[in-house]
Formats: sequence, C-alpha cells, structure tokens
Amino acid sequence: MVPFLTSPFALLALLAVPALVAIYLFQRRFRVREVSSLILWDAIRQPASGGRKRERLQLPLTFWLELLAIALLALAAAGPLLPRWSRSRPLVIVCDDSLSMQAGGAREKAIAFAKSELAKRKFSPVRIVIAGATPRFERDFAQWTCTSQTSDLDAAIALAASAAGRNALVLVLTDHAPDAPLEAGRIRWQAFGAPLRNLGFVAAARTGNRVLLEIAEGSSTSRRVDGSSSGAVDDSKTRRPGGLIIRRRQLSVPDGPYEATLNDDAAAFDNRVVLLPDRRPPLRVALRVQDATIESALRATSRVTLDDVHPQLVVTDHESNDEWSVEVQHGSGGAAFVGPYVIDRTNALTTGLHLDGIVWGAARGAMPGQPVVLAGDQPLVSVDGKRVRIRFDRTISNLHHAPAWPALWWNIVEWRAAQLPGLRSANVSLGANAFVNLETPNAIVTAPDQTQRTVSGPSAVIAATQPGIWRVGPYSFGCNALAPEETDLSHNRSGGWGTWNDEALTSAGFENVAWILLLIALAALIAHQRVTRGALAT
Amino acid sequence: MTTESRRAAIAEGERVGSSHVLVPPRMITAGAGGTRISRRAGGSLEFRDHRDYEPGDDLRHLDWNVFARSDRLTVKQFHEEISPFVEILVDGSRSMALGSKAEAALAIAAMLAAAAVNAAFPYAFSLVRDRLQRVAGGSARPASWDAIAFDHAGTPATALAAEARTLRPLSMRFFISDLLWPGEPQAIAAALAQNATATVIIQVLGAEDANPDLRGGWRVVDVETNEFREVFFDAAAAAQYRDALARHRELWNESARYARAVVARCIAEEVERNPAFDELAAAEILRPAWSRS
Repeated sequence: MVPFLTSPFALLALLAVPALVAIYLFQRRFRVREVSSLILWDAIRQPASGGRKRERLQLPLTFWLELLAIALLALAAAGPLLPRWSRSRPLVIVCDDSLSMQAGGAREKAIAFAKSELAKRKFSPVRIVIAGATPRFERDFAQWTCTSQTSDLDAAIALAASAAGRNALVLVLTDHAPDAPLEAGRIRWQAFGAPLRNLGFVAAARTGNRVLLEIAEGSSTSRRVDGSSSGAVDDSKTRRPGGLIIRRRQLSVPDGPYEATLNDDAAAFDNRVVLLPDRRPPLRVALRVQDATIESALRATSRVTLDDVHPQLVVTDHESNDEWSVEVQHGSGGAAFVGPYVIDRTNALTTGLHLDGIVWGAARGAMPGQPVVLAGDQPLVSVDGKRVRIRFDRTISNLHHAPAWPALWWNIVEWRAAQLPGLRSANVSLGANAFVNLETPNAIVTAPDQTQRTVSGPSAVIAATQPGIWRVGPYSFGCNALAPEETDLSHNRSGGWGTWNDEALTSAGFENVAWILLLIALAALIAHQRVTRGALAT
Repeated sequence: MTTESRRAAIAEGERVGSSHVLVPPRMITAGAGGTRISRRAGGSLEFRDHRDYEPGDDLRHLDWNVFARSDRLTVKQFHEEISPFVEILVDGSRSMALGSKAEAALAIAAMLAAAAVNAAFPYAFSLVRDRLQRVAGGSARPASWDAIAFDHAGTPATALAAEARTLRPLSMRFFISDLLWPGEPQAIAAALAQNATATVIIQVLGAEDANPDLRGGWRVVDVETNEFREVFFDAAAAAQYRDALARHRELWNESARYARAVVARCIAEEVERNPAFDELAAAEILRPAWSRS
C-alpha cells in the first residue's frame, strides 16, 4: 500500500535532519566543570570521539524523537493519501427537473433505473441533486417534481462533484443527450426521453379582453384549440430555427378567466393555459403639465385615468409637494445629449428602456435623488423616494418621438401601481414569483392543488410552483407553464453516455492520512518533553 | 588565612556543639591512668561485679568470701579510669574546597570540638594533606583555629596510611572528608581505627557531588589531579553516576564495619539542617548536653 503524496515538495522539510544532526554534534562540544574526583565519572560510558576501533554511534533518545517528529511532520505536509479500505463509493444522482421530463414517463423510467443501479452495487452515501433553474439537494425522489421551466444540469453536476468530494460518482438522469461526448470517468449520463411530437402553448398574454396565444407544433399534426372566444381571431405562423413552428393566435375574449386547452399528447404540461384579466383599477393620475406627448403616453398604457381630484400620481412641471409625483423639468438653454447614456438597469423605471439614437435635451446641473439615467455625468432621470424627476427639453430632443418615451411612462405607471394594493401581475409563468400588496396583515394562499398556507403583509411574494389559478386573499392570479425549449421534444433521446471506469469502481478512493502522522508526531514530542524533564529532574 | 565564610562556619559549629556532648565509647581497651571511668572491667579501686574465675585471672582479685560460702571460685570486676582523647581530622585536599564542603567540614569539626569540651575530653584538630598537620590553635577553642587551607593536590589516603599510627592511642577519632578518591577504603578505615577507642568517618558531599545538575556535553576535570573526562550527561549518564556513588558508599560502609568504625553522611549545603546528628546519635557518639548521664 504505497501512499500517494499530493505535495511531494514538502519533503524538502527533511533538510532539517542534517541541521538536527549538526545541532547534536555541536552540543557535544564540551563545557568545563571541576569535580571532586573522577572515580564516579569513570563509571559513565562515553561515546567514542574517534580512533581505530569502530563503535556504534551513541545518540540520545531525544535525538531520535526529534528525528521522528521531523520526518512525520514533513511527510504530513506532503499530503499523503492512502487507498481507502471501504469498497462503497459516494454517489450523487443529478435529476433533470425540467418540464419535458414529464413527457413519455421519462421521470418514472429514470427513477426505476436509479433504483436498479443502487441495488446492483453498494454506494455510500447516496445524495440527490434536483437540477432546476437553481440546483438543490433533496433527500429522496419525492421532491423531484419536474416542474421547472429550465434545468441547469452543468451547475447541478458541478455542485454534486464539489459537495460529494473527488471520490464520488455522478449519475445524471435526464431526457436528452449531453452537449459534449463523455469519456470514461466519474460521470454517467442516462437519458430516458424520446423524440415525440408535441403541441403545446409556449406563450400566452392578456390585455383587457385581448388574448395572445402562441402554440408550438412540430409537424402537420392536427391541432385543435378549445377555448371561448368571440370576435375576430387572428392567426399567423412562423418557423423558428430548429424546425419549431410557432402559431400565433390573437383572440377577443369575454370578461373573466380565459382558459385554452389542446388535445392530449406526449406532454400534458403545455396543453392548457389560463389567463386572468387584470383587475387592477386604473391609476389615477393628475396631469398638471401642458404636454400632449405625456398625456398620449399615459393613455397608451391603458392603465391610467386622469383624475385631478384624488390622484395617486401627480405629473407636473413645477416643484411638487405631493406624495407621489413626477416632476418634468422643461428648463431650456441646456444641451442636446446624444449619449452614451448610463442606465441603472436595476431600477424598475428602466425596464425595456433603450436609448440608442436618442437625442435628449436637458439643462445642465445637479438633480436631487438617485440618478437612474445619465448622459455622462449629467443626470436626466432621478428617483428620490416617491418622487421622480425628469429633465427634458422637448425643443432639442427626439425622445418623445421614440418608443423609449411611452416605455418610460409605462414604467413610471407600473412603478407607482406596484405600491398599490393588489397583485402586480394577473398572470405569471411557472416558477416565477407573484408579488402582491396586502391590505390586511395576513392572507391565505391557496395553490391550484388546494393546498394552503398563510403569508404576512404588507407585501408578499408567492412562488408559482404549479400551473393553474392561485388565490391570495381576495386576489387571484394565473400561472402557466410556457417554455418553448421544453415543449419541443424533438431533441429528446434515450440512452447512456459516459461510464464509470474500472479505476473509479475498484479503487475505493484515497484518504488523507496526514492527521495520523500528526498525531504520532505529537506523541513523539510529548515523549521528548518527558524525557527532557526527567533528565532535568534527576 | 581562613576566609570569613569559614570563620563563620566554625563559629556556627561551635555554637551548635556547645549544646551537645561527646559520649565515651563503650569498648575502651585497658590503658594507664586517666580521670574517666571506663566500662570495661579491669584493675580499679571501684568494685563492679563478680564473675567465674578463668585461668589467667589475677589471683589477687579472687573473692575468698564467696569461695568460703559457696566453694565457687569467682573474681571481682572493677571499673578502670580512662581519659579519652579526641582526634578531629579534616581532609585538606582541593576537592574539599569545591562548593561549601570546606565550610561544612569546619562546622562539623567545630561542633565536635565544642562537644568534646562539654565532655571534658581533650582534643586536637588536624588537617590531612600530604601529612597530618596539626592546625594552629587546634587544641584550643575553634574560634582560634587558623591557617586552614584546602589546597592539597592529592588525596588524604597516603598521609593517613603513613601517619595514622601517630595519632594518640585509645583516642576517639573523627575523620571528616568527601571520601572521593580512588583506591580501596579498607586500608584507610583500618589505619584510622587502629588503636582507637572509637572511629567515626563523616562523609561530607557537595550537592554537585551527590547529584550533578548537568546537561549535555561536559569536560569534567579532577580538581586535584587535573585529569579530565569528556562526558555527555543525560538521563542515562545520571543514572550511571548515581549507581557508582551508591557502590562507593557501600564500599565505605563495608570497610567501616570491618574496621568497627561508624560512617555518617551529610550534604554540605544542608549541614545547618542536618550535621550528621542522626548517625552520630545512633552510634552513641554524640548526645544533647542536658541528657548527660
């Protein structure tokens, strides 16, 4: 059993041995002491200092103990690894948690395969990593629900390898082939998918009574969409790279929840969408600035009603004392900025805001609050708590003619509306978060499977982990599984890639035994101290 | 000249000895005259006891009254009067000058002298160097002892072997030394005990002689001969040294037993606490003055 040294250069510490010998030889340089007589000293056996007769070199016990300690410390520093005695190996099972694993019973097949592998060979310990958007450890397959819109297998495999150690084996259970060939080693890839034809919803949106649906189809498979609609139905079809055909439908729907379904096929998760109407009342805005472009941008949001009596947001061109306000500073005599613009993308006011090619005229000077949009070092938009300031000179700008203008005002309306009671969005994607402002201290959340829990206000975040209709107190929102990559089953495969090589199976791994050497060195040093103390005591 | 430390040691020894008294030894050979009563039966004016007649006894001591009454020949036993002389001998070699052995030896010598005075025993204090040398004022009070030098580059063995016979016959002899010299002690012990009424050998060792506090390599030099040895002194060497010292002690014990001498030991640095009182008291050589019989 030959130890493997991870840091053999540490053995250079053995150079201390000659130094130790030199010290002991130096110590043998004798100091002088007068004694009463030599008759008692003659009884002490002396090591020979030289001569023709060979005698065994006599070194004290302390020398040998120090030598042992040096050797052990040097060897421990070299990181010795010894093969482990145990024949069982750690195993981490990485489970693809994406929606496509629901198709064709891939999940069930994967679980059966994993259990058969566990029965064939002894693994210890066995860990499970659920590979969703963010990988996580779970105790058993019960937590593997295959309801993630995406699966980051690379991150999950990296987590498995780092957490379980270099000796662990990894078994990946998924429905598609790996991106790159796998060589024999620690990772084994097993896929249980099949290139099935599937029809499913990949996008769904609702604005008022207008619904937009996108259906992905892979062939001439006939499809039928069931759902109540009225009025004109717009149909269009596009083909994406990779062969996926997207059919878009725009419908007018009555008030109330709208549900659309497709025929049963290989994957059921994408055969149904439910879209709830946005029941948020329009934002009451007091427009106290004479600017038609602002008014048209606000009205274009369809989320605003002008109300100068009980406004929830005041738009003005003067300094305002209102609680929620937007100050538009029309100062002239400024400069026409053409960029580059510095945009704080973490701020909700800049969502979808693109200023390429925009000429933004504004007076120079500082602005109170946190800058959100700057031209160089000149703030153009700033937020100060509940107050937004926009510095804008329309006479030397083209911003109000660009799509960025209504986008900015849409963000301002959403920014204020997000503080009002109710849901921020009436429909969310599976796995996304729904944000709700509560008017009561607590509210009961009811999932589509009727499980309930309580959340506390004034605001709550609900993870939409199931498709269907969720209820949060008096509010409801819809959750839909909309993932084109998961609906497209044409790339799914079954098979095995990569093998656990013989070395990985027969070798039980290595154990760092430096701690054993350190303990022995410690014992040697303790013995050295006792010997030294005993010599002193006598 | 005697150094101040040695004078102080002499003074302290005299002080301690002034509360003690030397005890006359049990076995005293017949001698001529004297003012002290010996315990051995012999010709004396003071009757002690009867015993059966043995061929060779002085017929003048036959008790005819007992014969008349019992037809049994018995002789009278009488006390004989003896004046013990005390010889105090101190090893004057260089080894005695190491550490505080010289002070300890002088203190013990002064103690014995003061105890002799209490017992009304005359005494003489001598240094054993190349010869037995009477110390100036050695028969007077210890405070007057002078010119005491421990500078003999040799052992006292030669002087003792040659001149022990010059010591007063039937004297009590005290020899104070570290006893650390080569050679068989039997001859020395026998020379000291020859013609003595009591012989006491007091070994005074320095703390460094009894238990060297050394570590590592040392060149140990004999202070008397300047010979040297190079020693690596560790725990094993210390054990060997202790074994050698024990054998040396046993050798002297055996030699003293054979010569009917008493051996007492003390450590020079501890003489104030234990100037060999225990051994001397056990040998009935020395006792506190108030318990004088």
